[in-house]
Amino acid sequence: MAMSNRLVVPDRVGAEVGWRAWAIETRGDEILLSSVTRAEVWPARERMEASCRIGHEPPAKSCGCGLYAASTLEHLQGMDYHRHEAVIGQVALWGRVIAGTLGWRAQFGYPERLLVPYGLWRLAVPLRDAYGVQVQLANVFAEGGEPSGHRH
Amino acid sequence: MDIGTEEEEYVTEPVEDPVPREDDVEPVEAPVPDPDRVPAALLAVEA
Repeated sequence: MAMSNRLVVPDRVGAEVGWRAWAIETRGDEILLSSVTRAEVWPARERMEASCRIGHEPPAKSCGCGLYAASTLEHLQGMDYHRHEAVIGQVALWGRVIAGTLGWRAQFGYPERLLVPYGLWRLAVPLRDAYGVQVQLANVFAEGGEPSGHRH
Repeated sequence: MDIGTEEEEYVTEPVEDPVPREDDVEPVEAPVPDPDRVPAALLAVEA
């Protein structure tokens, strides 16, 4: 994405914060987040940058590319992510953003808070270590609503 | 993911960098879950 380093005057200040799900990818000793639907790892301690196979700078209105997030946890819970061993979390989105009535797709992202299902509790501390964000044990899809649980 | 009807396109910059620096994180505690919050049966299976 060579174009992403050019100077762009922002229209707004402040990242959007949405909800999304990640799959888990293990690389050696590293536990990393990855897209549930695509083979894309979210790097630790670096912003995630969207890419597009077509070659333009994502996201574009004419395309479906970009980093996706739902505006509410309830909306995310209504999707099929419970079929995956998914880690749920809040994600900061910035750069070029397309806002929808139920969420966003964006150019850059980084997890802000992670909710790890109890069944994957061994991943909580490695994820906190790797990404440097708060991690909480919570079965979001089983319990519904704003989760409460043990924080790391 | 369904984000509904796309209405607006803009560029926004975070006030603070959302990516934590290496020295932003406290030393890591031992990865032992709180037994009051994790079902004992689950711990037995995972052990």
